[in-house]
Amino acid sequence: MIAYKVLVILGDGLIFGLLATGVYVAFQWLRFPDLTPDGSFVLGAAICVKVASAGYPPLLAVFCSIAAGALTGSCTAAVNKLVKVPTVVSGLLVSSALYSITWLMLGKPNQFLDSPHTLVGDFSGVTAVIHLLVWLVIICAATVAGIVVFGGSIWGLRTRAIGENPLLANDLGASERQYTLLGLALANGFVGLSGALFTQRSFSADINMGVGITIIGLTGLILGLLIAGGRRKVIVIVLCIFGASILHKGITFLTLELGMPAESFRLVSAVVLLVAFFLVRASSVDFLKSLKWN
Amino acid sequence: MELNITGIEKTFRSSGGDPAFLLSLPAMTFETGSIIFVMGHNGSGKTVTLKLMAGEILPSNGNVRFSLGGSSWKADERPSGIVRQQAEDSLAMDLSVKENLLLRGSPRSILDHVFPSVRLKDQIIRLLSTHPELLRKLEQPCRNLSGGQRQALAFLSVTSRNYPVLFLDEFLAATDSGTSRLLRRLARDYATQANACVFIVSHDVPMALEDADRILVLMNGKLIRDLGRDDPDWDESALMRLLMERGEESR
Repeated sequence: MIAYKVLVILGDGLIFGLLATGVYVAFQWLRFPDLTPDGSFVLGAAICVKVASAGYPPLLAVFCSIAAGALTGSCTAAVNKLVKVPTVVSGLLVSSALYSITWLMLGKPNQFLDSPHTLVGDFSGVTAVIHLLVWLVIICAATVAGIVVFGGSIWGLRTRAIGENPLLANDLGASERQYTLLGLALANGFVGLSGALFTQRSFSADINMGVGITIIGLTGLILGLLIAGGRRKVIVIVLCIFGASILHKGITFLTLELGMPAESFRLVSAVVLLVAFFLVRASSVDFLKSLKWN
Repeated sequence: MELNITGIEKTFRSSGGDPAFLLSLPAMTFETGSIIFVMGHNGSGKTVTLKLMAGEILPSNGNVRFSLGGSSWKADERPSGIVRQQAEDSLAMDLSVKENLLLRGSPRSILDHVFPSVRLKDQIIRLLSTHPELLRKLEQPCRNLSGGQRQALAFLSVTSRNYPVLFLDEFLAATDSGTSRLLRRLARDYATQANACVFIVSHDVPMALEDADRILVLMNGKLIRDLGRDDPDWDESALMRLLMERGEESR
């Protein structure tokens, strides 16, 4: 039983590690306090359920979710850069619109996904959890490799540099608008992927499942940066973020096991984030000082 | 060869909409391979001039246009080489020394774009061959560097690309005398090797007289003197007097 619970925590940690990685790209690379994940997570989940339920392969459904997430990130960037809506408001605006879009797409507040249409197929119980975990490890490993390669490429370096110092856009002959769009598309692509994988575990998509999800991603990010200490290599930070997300899920699970009501899981996340911020402020490496959204 | 720059006009308005500051400079011609100092009292328009020429801000009328040999371009059309007063403004502080240099490297193939740290490593090492302290800190984030090292890195990363026009905005403000001497030599080398026009904004009169081929003196947004090395006012006391008198007049 304990082994089963540990596997579930690991799986959840990996799923929310992807979410936190998306938040990392937006908040840390672009210095863009993006609230789109509240909408793009649900959209990713809903699209995955819709596509998979229609009989298409689950992996195709997952790719569709990534594309949809990337599109929502692009929308937020366009709203911010073209219409000049402030960063926080543009994310809020897009996620609010996505709430209705997802509902309209689902046609109802929630939709279930039959087990045969998921990545684990007809397996059930511990076998299904192990199968899903294998899938998650493969997907997360590919994601980590992808983001490390991208982060070190010329395009990734420019995304990170221009996000931190927009003056460099002119120096490099690059467009700040294009790189913000690229970065937010990437960030929300990860969030869409996370939403899609969550449906493989919960077997459903619900329009309310994204409420406050950005905070969960942010908790993973802040804890991850705290674990990374002064290290700034992309691979180290991303691995720490995944580790932190697993830790976060473990803490949440433990508090529920200790008797907290199930409805309090968001409260637990909020407290964990608060403690993480306190630890950052108390630590010698206050990395939040250099972030514009701070 | 000669570099031509069109006239520049820029009006800054007060919150009420009235013109608060007007910068108006005539069309000018500069010898390539030369160093031009832009001097003047605080608020005379030196930095604005540089930003307009670098395409960071746009003029109120028309465009700032350069022509050199057979080619012609608008200031905001091409990336410009500019080293700012604060080195932090020319660098990405979260990125390592190597990554900052890679940003401005010259990737040719798709593999260079995807794996620049492997493919362009030799370029970086060659660039830092005269800066062993930066070479030692290659993998460290820029925020770990001292002020002088940051300015040296900003200068090296900008000049790693061959810009026909280079702008240095009080770039020696935070450097010690050793780094300052080195960067001045590098600026001269860059002007000669890249056959570029190097514009330097500075308040340092002795340095200007030593390094410049030409000195432009601004006052209240106007060019009031254009000094060449053969000008009778090309000496410290005359230039100091010119700058101080004009500075007091403007107050």
